[in-house]
Amino acid sequence: MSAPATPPHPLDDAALVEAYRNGSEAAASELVARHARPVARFLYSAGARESDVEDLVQEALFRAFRRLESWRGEATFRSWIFSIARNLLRDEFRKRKGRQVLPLDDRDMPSADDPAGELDAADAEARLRDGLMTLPRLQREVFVLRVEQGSTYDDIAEALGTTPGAARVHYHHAVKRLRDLIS
Amino acid sequence: MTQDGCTRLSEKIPDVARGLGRWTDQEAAHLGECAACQAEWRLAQTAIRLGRRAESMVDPERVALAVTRRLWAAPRRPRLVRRVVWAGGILGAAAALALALRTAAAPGVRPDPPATVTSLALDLPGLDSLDVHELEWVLESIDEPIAAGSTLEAPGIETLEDPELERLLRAWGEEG
Repeated sequence: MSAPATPPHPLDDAALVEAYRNGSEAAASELVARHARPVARFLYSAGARESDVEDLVQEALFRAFRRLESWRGEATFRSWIFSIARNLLRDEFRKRKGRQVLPLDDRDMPSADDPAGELDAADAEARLRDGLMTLPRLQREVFVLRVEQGSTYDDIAEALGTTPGAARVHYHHAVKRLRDLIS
Repeated sequence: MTQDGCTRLSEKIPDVARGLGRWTDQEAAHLGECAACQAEWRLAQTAIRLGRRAESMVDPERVALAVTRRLWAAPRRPRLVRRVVWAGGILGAAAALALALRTAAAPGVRPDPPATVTSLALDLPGLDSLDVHELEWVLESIDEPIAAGSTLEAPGIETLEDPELERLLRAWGEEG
């Protein structure tokens, strides 16, 4: 009787990047699949429109691969993608400037299971998203990376081009300003 | 717990809210009593829900397919090619510089001869990535046209039409 097969240990990002550099399309796909959702979370919470999220995710990841030589491995691959995504979002905000935006989404539609609870949750999320947009950009991005992604202050500093200490200060400022909105 | 307790809880809230940690009894007791920490806890939970909502806006497989298609449609240029392109850009800048120096030194064009240029500080970040042999090659390429003479002959000038040459000469005359 043979021993049960152990699942293969998943390759880390650096190994996948190396495999991609050697021509592996599967490695690229795996990296995209691994990081697409976290990048979507970051972009949406940092202000991307729902209808733009997937396109922005795709563009951020495409650019990441095209500029792979500038990733030297000091920062995590994810932090590096976040730094590309935030620049992309900044460009998107510039393009949007001056256009009148009428937000249309279905957040206010309650679910059949718990209409009141869903509505409260949706309302809190809407208030948070609006509140995030009132914060200075760096505060907003630090908050999103720390809470939603669980990034360390070191990783946040790498992604946003600041220091871990400054990131910590930005985080606490953001929390102070946002928690009153939600309560 | 004191203010330190709030700080400790605040540092831990993101991880616990994401299911990656647990409160100690002492921390749980503090959370039960502290309105500020409760507000922060709700804030973190709301932020995480907001993020999860965003996950449904993207299909990783579809994105992976689109990204890999784009990558393979636009193949990467080998490093050497990129360096040659950089070097080409540097040579272009050097040619423009050489033309400017010759123009400045041309007799009859400027009434006062320009001061002798002994050194030039050019900010060309692309040079940093070149190795010694590539740098030598670039320097040799720059030296040749500058050392070749000080006439008005400049690469490409013979291709200009008469009206363009006249405009160029007028422009030099106005500068002088």
